[in-house]
Formats: sequence, structure tokens, C-alpha cells
Amino acid sequence: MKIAVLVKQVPDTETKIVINANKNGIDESNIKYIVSPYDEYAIEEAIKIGGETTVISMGPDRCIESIRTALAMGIQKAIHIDTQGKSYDSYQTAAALAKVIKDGGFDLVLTGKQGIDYDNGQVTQMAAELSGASQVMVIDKLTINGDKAKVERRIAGGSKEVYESGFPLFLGCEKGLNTPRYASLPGIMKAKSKPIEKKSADELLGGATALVEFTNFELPPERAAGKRIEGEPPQQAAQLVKLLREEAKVI
Amino acid sequence: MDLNLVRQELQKLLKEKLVPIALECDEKGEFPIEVYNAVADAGYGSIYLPEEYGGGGSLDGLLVVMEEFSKISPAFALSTMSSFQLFGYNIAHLGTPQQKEKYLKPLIQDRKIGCWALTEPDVGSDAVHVKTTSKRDGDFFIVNGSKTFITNAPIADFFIVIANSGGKGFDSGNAFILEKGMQGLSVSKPFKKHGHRSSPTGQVYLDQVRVPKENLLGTEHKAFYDMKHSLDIERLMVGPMIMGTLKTLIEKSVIYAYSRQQFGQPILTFQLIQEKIARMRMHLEMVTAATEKAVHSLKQGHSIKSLATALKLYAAKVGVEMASEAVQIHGGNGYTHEYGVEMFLRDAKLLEIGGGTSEMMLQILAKDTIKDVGKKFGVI
Repeated sequence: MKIAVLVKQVPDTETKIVINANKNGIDESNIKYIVSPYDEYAIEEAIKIGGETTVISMGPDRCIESIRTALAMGIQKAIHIDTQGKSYDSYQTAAALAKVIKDGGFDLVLTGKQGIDYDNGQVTQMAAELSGASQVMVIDKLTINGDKAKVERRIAGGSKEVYESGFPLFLGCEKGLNTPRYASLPGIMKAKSKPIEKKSADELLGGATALVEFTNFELPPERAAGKRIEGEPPQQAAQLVKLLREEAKVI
Repeated sequence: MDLNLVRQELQKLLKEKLVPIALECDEKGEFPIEVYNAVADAGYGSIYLPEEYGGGGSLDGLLVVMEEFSKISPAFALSTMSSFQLFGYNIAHLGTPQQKEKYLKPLIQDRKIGCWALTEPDVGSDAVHVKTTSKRDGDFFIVNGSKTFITNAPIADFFIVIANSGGKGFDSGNAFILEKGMQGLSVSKPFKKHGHRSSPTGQVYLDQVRVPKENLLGTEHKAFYDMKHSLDIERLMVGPMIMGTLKTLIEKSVIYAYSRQQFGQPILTFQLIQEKIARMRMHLEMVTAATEKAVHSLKQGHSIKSLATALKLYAAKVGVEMASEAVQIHGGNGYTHEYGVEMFLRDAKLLEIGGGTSEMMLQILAKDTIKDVGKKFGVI
């Protein structure tokens, strides 16, 4: 089975985000980048399934670090789609990825349920559509049996949906699917000699133009100081109801 | 070797496995064996051991690993180093192919724990006069004596034991590889210590231990020469241990002083607090510079004896002083166990004693310096 893992490099979850001067993005200096955590479940799942595994990442040169992490964990080879300093929206990203995935003849495409930077949660579904494949998002269980995959996803109320699908298939992975491994030292040493094929994002787009433009970023307003309600429980409850009704206007 | 990747992946492992239990292990005096096993399985312990036996062969990598351990638990760094460096590196450096197969491979691949035993109840700094004896008996050596203050002794599978060979002066040392379970070999319970409490230290008793001659490590009578290189590395390791310690203490101190209010402002705005932070940073930079120079010299094949000696002396001293300052910045909170600051002070103190006392480091430096000048001018 040919498996592709789509990996996005994102700012570390502990990053203090600063908006750039043009207000159309974030200030990328002094940011520590990591593999988007949900993508780690995808990497782990691909390694567990085995077969021919390829990690694909689209972004500037720095995202090779994330590719190397995936290779060190155990993925066999890589494709880096170089954005060469340009920005692309979800649709363009999906178009470029779909082209690489179709050309590569992958059966299974695993990725995180969303990137944890912009949290758009669109690329996987669009790339699946553009490559004519099925897709199931937010899965936390996967079983492959011959030419069929059985996947499960949790839905509201503690129930779950179970899907069965043929290939090619795109899956967005959720926490709980597995426990991602750390790269071992031998893994890190082997990663050095694993091949990374470079492709140009511009050439893969096939004329897809951006549908979304970022124009203005704002940080959420500072949270106002909390209000402490004093007194005995009956008075506190009465006061709380009053505040919820009159100030917060939620009841 | 991609050192950034090593650091990143090791940090992930330690954050999940060592960070949550480091303080508790210190308090209870327990060795975090699960973390040791995870580190051994992932290959980070053997980062400076030969690649042909599954190691990483990287001295720079060893520094990263020692620093990352020491950021969280200098005691864990010490035990891991004793196993993989003091035991493992000596086997890699001096061992026969059969010894490497038998002892190095299981250390690297099978979670075995090693230790290195030189110090005795009556002999520490004056190493050449060890009282443990070794006498040839056919295809065996009979080893008698006892060792003390041996890191990992209570939990070790493998031991390197230094004994008197019956030779003269510096030519009177034999090193042997011993295994847990050999008749006549026993160990004490872990000592209760001031610091490095989660690193088990204990005694080794040797009562008529029959050691096969194949287990002689290095050249007969030459153990005191053979061990020199390993001692340089051991002293050099105090560099990254203190680098890790200082990095943690600096972060903790700045964050604490920023949030701690007195007289209506964060204590971080007080110059007396800033001075302490500046000094911590100064010493961190100096220890880092000296460590990097020592690594560079070692790679060029130069002797690092004087530099490693000076580095150990200096790093241990500033480690104790700066850990004390970090406690001071944290005030009463710093004096409690929960804040995880005073542990570093207790741990740093060991480095002025273990691996050669600061007094011995000074004596070695004085002797070497006088000899160098004497040679240059043909005097003394």
C-alpha cells in the first residue's frame, strides 16, 4: 500500500503570537516551529500500517525540519513542496497537494484533522475532492482489511459513526487514534540519508487562484478581570442569576 | 548528527516521562528506571558510543543529552552518564571485541546498567594506592576489597572495578569487568544523600571474587594510564550538567521575579535581583565557552587534561554559587522542595566532591602549570 502523510509545520503551541506590521499575518521571527500535533497521529498511523510511506509538506524551506522529524520517526521518504516565499490559501494548497498525490498514485492519505495554526480544517477535504478520492475527517480508529478501510469517528452524545471505504481514501486523524512515538537516535541518524524530493508549489497549482485573502489580523481582546460573588450560597446564587440576566444577558 | 532534532525529540520524551516525576524521585530517593529504559531504548544514552554497536558516535550529541537531562534532573544525568560513559565508554575504548560483544551490546541494546568503581573507604583522591587486590590464579584473578560512593552500584548489572595489580607506583592498576551475580560480589543499599538523591550510590564488596582473565580490561598493570582519557570526559561532562542547571535556574528565577510583587512592583525590577540574574547568565556563557573549547580540542586530538580540570573546578563552583542565588531570588518559596530550585543547589554540591574534589582539581592545575613553566625555562 502506498501511503502519503500530509504534514504541516506550525508554531509551537507555547508560542506567544505577535501580529506583523502589515496586520496580514503573524510575526514569524523568534518562533519555534513544530509538526502540527494532529499530524503526529497521522505519521504514527502510517508507520504502524507500513508499506511504502511518504511524508509531504508544503511550505518554506524551514518545513524541512518537520519533514526530518517524520523521517526520523520512521517514514521512508519525503516530498517538499516549496512555496518559495509566497503564501497560498487552503484551496491552492489543496490543489498543489492533490496534484502530487494523484501523480504519486497513493492509496491512503493520512493527515491531522486540522493544522493548529490557522485551524481552517479545509485542506484535507478539498484535496480529497480535487483528487477524486473519498474522505473521512476526525477519525480515532482505523482498521484496514484488504481493499477496504473501516474507520470510526466520535460524534455528539458519546456515539460513534463507522464508515467503510475503498481506496483512494483521505483520513483526518484525531487524538486517541494512537500514541505517536519519539524519534529514536538510530531513527534520527537514518533520516539523514532518506530522500527528500523538491517540487515547486507554483508549478503544481495548475492555475488555481486564491479564494481567500487575509487582510486584517487582531488579537482577541484581553480578558476582563473576573467578578467575585461574596456571601452565603443562597445569596451568591441569586446574585449570579441577576448578573447572568442583566449584565451577561445570557438567560 | 542533526542535534536540533536530537534535542527536540529528547525534550518530548523527557517532558512526558521525567518532568512529572523528577521532584518526587528526588524526595523519595528513587531512581526513575522507566525513564532510564525509555532513554536506553530510544538510543539517547549511547549517543557517544560506537556506531557499530548501535551507538551514535557523537560527542556533541552527548553534550546535548547531558544538558537536557540536567535541566530537569542532574541526578538522572549522573546515573545515565555513569552507565553509558564511565562504564560504556571505557569498554568501547579499552575492551576487546569479545568484551564489547558481551558487555557493550547489552548496555546499548538491552537496558543493562553499568558503573565504574575506583573510590574505596580509605582511598579516594589518592587513587594509585587502592587497597583492593587482584592476584593471578591460573586463568583467573582473585579480587578482594571494597569500593564506596559508587554511582549506580546498587542497581548495576555490570561493574568496572579498579584493583591493585601488585605492580609498582603508577604501574600498579588492573581494571576488571564484573557482572552482577558473580560469586563474592555484593552491593549495599543506596546511601541516603544530601543531593543527587534519585541517583543510587553505594558500596561494592569483593570477597574472593574469581574473575576470568578474559575480563581484564585494558593492559595489565596499566589501569591508571588507561583511565586518564575517561576521566577527562567525566570532568568535561560537568560543563553540560551545569549548563542545564543554570538554564533552568535562570528561567525559573526570571519568571518568579517577574510575578513576585514586593513594595508594589515585581522584584525583577530591583537591581539587586537583576545582578544575580546577570551573574547566572555570565557564568552560563563562560561554562558554555569552556565546554565548547574542550570539545573542539578533543576533536582535534589535543590533550584536554588542564582545560577539563579547570572546567570541572569552575563549573562546579559557579553551579553551587548560582543555585544558591536562585534559591535566594525565590526566597522562602525557594527553600521549599515544591518550587524545584533547592534540589539544584543540593545536586550541584556533589560536583565539587565527586569525580575528583575541587581541592584535587586545584592541585592538578598547580602541578601542571608549574611543570609547564619549569619546562619552558629549564628550571624547577
